[in-house]
Amino acid sequence: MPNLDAIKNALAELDEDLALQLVKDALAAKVPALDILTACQDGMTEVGRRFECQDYFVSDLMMSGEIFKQIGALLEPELKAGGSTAVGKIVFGTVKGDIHDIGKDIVVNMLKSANFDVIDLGVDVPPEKFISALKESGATVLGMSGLLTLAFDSMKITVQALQTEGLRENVRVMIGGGPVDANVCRFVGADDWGADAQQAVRLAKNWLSPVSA
Amino acid sequence: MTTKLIACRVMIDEIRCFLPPEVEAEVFEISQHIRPKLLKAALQAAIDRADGKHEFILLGYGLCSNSVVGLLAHKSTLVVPRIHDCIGIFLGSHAAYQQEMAREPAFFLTQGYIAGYVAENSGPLSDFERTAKRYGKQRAEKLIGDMMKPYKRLVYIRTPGALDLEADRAYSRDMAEHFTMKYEEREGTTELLHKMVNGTWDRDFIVASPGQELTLENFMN
Repeated sequence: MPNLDAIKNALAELDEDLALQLVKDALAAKVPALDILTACQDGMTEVGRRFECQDYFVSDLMMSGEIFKQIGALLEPELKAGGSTAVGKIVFGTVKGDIHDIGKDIVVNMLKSANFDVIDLGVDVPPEKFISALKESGATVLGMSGLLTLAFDSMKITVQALQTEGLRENVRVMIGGGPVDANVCRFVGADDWGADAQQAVRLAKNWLSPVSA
Repeated sequence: MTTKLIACRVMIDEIRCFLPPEVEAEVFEISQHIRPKLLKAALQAAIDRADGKHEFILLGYGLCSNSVVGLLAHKSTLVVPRIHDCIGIFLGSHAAYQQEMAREPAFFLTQGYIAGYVAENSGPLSDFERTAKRYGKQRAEKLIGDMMKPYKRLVYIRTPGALDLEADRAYSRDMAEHFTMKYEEREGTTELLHKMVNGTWDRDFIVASPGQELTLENFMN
């Protein structure tokens, strides 16, 4: 019987072959894809913890993202076939002046795996592009990412643009990225922030599926 | 009363060119930047050790991924450049940094970065070697290649006080070639660091009185 803890541990240990095999075994044994996803998210959290403790290096963080991407590809058809339609729409991007995409891509992948319809605008995204995507898609959540502190002003300007365009009341804003914390969230005027991809998924679930939250 | 300098290794060689001998300096590794919470704790501990023993504590840092937000001295005055990070310091201003990034995304190096990367076995080239050793060369090319992909240029900033310009150029060109970036050079400046050390604490500096915590807003306005 596939063990979810074993999946979590294989990811935490960055054992690519084992992690992928265990996920395949679990899917074959009809373990719900969402449960597998949760185990993987826990594994990613453990990787982050080990990095903070200096047991892991940048290269290990990159590797964890790579393994998670492959697992996401295995889970996605199952999550979609699970019958549930997309939980909600989210517009996402790295803000103007910042061109880093690795953290953003991990969050986008994790949100997609959790069955959200994510409109990924890429990097160096100006406020007007966020605004048009929100208007066109009718999405009610905006996620902004930034690795550089240079991103803070862009995030703030984008939130102000939402206000000017009359969208702010209907759009919840989450921010994230290396230097983002509660202070930055307050400065930017976002609704909340995430220290990691798991937190972004939790926020999206709370905002877009209040019944299950 | 005396002054204490707590600085990142990235700028210490430049500062030492004009640092009065009586100013005691404590230097921290560049690689601590990738774990800002740990860097913040280390800086606060250094401030605590110096607090009250010196009238002024100079911080050779910028906002640096928020590492300095929340730092506090109870009995000494904290002085820190009002800038996001050392690239702005060496390019001369935050505006100059923004202009460079807006022109084309760049990875910046200075002699302090290179010295730190080599001594601490850190930075993209070390990350590549470490990844290749653990996961294989092909994987390293993908993973670290992806990490460096956003940067189209490698800009080496020549700073007054650079110890071995040709060795730095060789390192920088090697990194540029390794990650397929254009190689460029800029003339850097250490004017902000001069002003910090000689006490010209104008609008470019945050001067936090004893008991006053450094805030994000200090840097953003």
